[in-house]
Amino acid sequence: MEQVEERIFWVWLSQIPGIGARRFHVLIEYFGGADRVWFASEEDITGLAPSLGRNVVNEIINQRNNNTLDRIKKMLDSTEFRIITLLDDEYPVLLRQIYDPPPVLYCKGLPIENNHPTISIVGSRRSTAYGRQMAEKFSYELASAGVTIVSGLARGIDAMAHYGALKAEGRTIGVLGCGIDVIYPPENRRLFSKMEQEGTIITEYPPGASPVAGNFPARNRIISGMTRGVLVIEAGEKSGALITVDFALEQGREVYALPGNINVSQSVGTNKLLKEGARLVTEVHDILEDLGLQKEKVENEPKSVQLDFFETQVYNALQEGERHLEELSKITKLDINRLNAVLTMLEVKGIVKQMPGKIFIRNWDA
Amino acid sequence: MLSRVKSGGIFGIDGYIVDVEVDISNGLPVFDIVGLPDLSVRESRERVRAAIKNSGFEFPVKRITVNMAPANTKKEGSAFDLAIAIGILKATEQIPNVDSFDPLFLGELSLDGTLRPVKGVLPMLLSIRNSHKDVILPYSNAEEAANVSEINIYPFHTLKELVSYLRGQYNLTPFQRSDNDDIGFETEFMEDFSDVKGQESVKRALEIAAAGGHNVIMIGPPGSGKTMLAKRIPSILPDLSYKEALEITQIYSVAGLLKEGEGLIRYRPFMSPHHTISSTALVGGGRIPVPGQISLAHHGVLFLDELPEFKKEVLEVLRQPLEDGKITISRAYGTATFPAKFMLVGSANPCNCGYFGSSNGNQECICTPTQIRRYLGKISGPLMDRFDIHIEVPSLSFQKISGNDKGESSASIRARVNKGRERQMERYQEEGIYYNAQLSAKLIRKYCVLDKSARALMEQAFSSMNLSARAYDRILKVSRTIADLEGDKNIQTHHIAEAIQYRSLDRQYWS
Ligand SMILES: [Zn+2]
Repeated sequence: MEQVEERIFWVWLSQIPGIGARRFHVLIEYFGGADRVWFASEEDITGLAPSLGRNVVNEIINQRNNNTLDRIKKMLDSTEFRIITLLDDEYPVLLRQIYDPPPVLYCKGLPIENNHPTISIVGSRRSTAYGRQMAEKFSYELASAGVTIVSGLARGIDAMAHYGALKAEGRTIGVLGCGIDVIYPPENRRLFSKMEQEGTIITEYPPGASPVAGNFPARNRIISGMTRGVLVIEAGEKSGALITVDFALEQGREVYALPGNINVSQSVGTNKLLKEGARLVTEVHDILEDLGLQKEKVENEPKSVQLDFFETQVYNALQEGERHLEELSKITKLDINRLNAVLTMLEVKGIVKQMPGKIFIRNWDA
Repeated sequence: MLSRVKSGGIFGIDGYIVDVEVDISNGLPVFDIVGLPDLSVRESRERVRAAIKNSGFEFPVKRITVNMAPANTKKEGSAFDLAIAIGILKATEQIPNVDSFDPLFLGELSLDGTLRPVKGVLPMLLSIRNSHKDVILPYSNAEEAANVSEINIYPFHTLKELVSYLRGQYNLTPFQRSDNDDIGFETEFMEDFSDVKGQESVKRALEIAAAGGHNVIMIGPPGSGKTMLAKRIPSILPDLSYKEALEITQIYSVAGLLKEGEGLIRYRPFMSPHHTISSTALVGGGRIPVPGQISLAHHGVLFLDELPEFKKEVLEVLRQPLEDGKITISRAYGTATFPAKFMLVGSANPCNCGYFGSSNGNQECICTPTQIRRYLGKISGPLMDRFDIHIEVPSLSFQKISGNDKGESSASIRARVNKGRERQMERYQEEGIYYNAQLSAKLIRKYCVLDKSARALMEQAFSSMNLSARAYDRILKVSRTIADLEGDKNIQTHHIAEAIQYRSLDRQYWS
């Protein structure tokens, strides 16, 4: 009962406008608990005006009413989402250790499991097809090996990172820069609903909070803070992903980066990170080794799929990675008409995947 | 004195007889034309007056009334000049009246009496060939007119020459076309596929499209050569038939686009209107209807480069003609119908930035999935449905893979296309269609029957590749064409398997 009561005051204090994670922790330390702030004399609180500002002090005083508390109690009983405070066991274990952990997290989806390694995968919202493909691939493989994938539920790399982990039926956590009930960006609706069922969504912002630009850097500190390391797939020169990297370094997390085409703006940031000493990643093993994990044995040859002579020939031609239709024709010496037919058969059998632009790759998640 | 001569007018591509009556009476000298002439016909008064005088004949200083019947049809153009001049010369008895010789007079006059060519001669003569047998017209129209063998053509260079003939000063045999025995269609093209290195996948798809008359859309990054490829499609379309050539020539004749002395258009047209084109210019129209780009592309190719840039309402007007193979334009004076049976070739970038799907080069796509969907989404579903074949044209970096091998010539591709098309024409003799693209849903069930394994492949493909349902009939039609190119009576599994590759835009990542 004591515990429950304290959670109410935690949530209450965390929701007072003008009180972010840092001020929250300062107040708790000063008064000795969130409930103490509620019960403190008006004088004691007003005395903080020089450091907190007049407005914040007034807010604390005004919010000390039973209506507010009732509202918070309702929130704690909500079936739409749940609230995890720093006092709870479910609170992400690594996030506790950062300098300014969010006192309260609003959460939807599966419970957060703290006994697994976590890695965050981040990158540009304006990503290339290559970047999106790699985000999905690395996420899939890491998640298959038991790593929890954390990202920001944004467009591009973030979305693909979540999809990759979901496809592997692994664990993935999306961190929002707005209220738990706000879907942003709107085109990720499908991803949100998948994440609510098969993954986890968290945020430090109270329900209804809109995705204002200022929230996103703070959101990024959670992404890096929850994880052992940050894998940057693609980042332009001024990408938000680089802010996550700064937090990671501050928090003592590892920074991994994927090398990219030097002619492409989306790779400028990642290549610069590599130059400055980020861990270069070309295969998932590079990360798993640090985490003391083994790669899931991926079958190189398709199992239980019967291939005829031409299908085998084309499948073998894809051994070294993606190939354009014209390249495949050159390598296999097959006429386009036969090659097209063979590719359809391989696609139908599920062992080859077609990408936009008539590019074919082996289906590594077959 | 009163005289009557015959001339002809044209509405759409239908000709009609115009009776030109000239009455000359005493009174103040006036020259009037009645019978619904438009401004261009009224202007002929000045040309007729000058031409008669400058040819050394007398222009009567009297009251001249010209009536053109039927009076309920708006007359347009300069083709009545000659008939009016002859009418005046007859009414003033400068030319004798010979009842047994009552030809049609067509032609514009220049001020010095030279006969100048007019528009629409071929369709006009085709319309009247069963009721009239003699036509007098400018020499420059003779080759065109001679396509109508039922009619005796008497071409002249000048009014003076014509008058001597009508005065019986010499005899003439009707004009015979210069190349009567061997019509000869174009088989060598300025733009030949042998210039295209590599791009085997694109060429194969275009060969299928040409054989089956399938509309195609080409998707590819900027600079991948979509226009260059499209321009070469006419060179691999089936050989033109005389009937088709005649139809094309009629349209060009009406539009006034026949080159001087050109008797017959011997090649399949390629029209490539800019994306700023108006609906009227695209499908035809105007006060007196003129054919639009879709009719000028009749039996050829209509290439719409940068399809998503065309205005929505402009693309909308394409739908009916694509369905019917013709366009009907209604006006107060009647309804004009122009044929418009063309192969529609569209091109588009894959996305806003142009580089979706070609991420291997120095350029990378930076569009969001929503932007990508929205870009090609600008093309309406019903129009998109008209494209049986989707071609992804590779970026230059992939084209280099193919090296410098000289491509196969258009003539050798066309030879296969001809064979494939013949099989279709034979099969559809009783159906009133000519090629696979024209198959209706009902005829597809009749002619595109799949065996068990082919049907199983279709089912698997639809479930594993997320193809949309609308793809089904199109895959059947295209596999029918692939089978025809191979000379196979039945559609086999590998025909279906190949056809599935030409439906890129139905894939999940696009739609
Ligand atoms: Zn793009």
